[in-house]
Amino acid sequence: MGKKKSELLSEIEELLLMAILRLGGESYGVPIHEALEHATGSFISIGAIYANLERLKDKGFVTSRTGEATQERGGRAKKYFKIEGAGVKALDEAERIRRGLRDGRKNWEPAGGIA
Amino acid sequence: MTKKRIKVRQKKRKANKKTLRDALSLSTTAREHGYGVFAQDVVSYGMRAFHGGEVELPKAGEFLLYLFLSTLERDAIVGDLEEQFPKVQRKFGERAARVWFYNHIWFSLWPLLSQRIVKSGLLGWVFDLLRRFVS
Repeated sequence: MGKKKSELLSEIEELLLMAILRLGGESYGVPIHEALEHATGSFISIGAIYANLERLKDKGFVTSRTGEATQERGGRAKKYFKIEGAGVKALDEAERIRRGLRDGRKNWEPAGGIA
Repeated sequence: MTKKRIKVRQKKRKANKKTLRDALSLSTTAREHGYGVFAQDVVSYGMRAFHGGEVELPKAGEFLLYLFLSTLERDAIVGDLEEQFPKVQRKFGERAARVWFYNHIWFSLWPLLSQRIVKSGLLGWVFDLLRRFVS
């Protein structure tokens, strides 16, 4: 059975989920952004990160809460993200699909067979 | 710039350097005693003093975010940029930090706006925008 498009993760969504999982309780915009830029070695705008996090939130893969406001941030509150069970499951599924494709699993074949 | 103003700036910079030095040594002591979070705050305070007080984000860029984003989104994004701005400023200087800031604003607007438009539809988004400007 094929997966719905909304259940599949894009590359940036997968990276975001992994970053949140690794950061644990301290996952708000700045450390997530730093982790992603460090891992990919390329520029990622903070807006792109928040847009994708919102998408993940809509899918039910992450939840968010408003944190404390610090002087360092000009009195603005942090937005913390937490990965949910569905998010961990989606990550595992993405990993399984990738491994299946890489290892050339026998039962994997595009619909209609290979031309 | 007059000689007097240069002298005042030099004097201020010297004082700020001293504040940064004090903050760094205080943060080391705090870390040694297990107050890591406090140490971080002290360093950021010192960094601010070193750069002449409060961090001033470029207003035009910040205004663009105020124009298009909701309060919650805006607070999180501007706060994140404000937190990172002094680090970039310290490492690469004022001008580079401004370029970095505008780069973020420029490349943030489209993903955020497109996501909002997809979520509530173009008409819904325009209506929401108008409602925010009117109220």
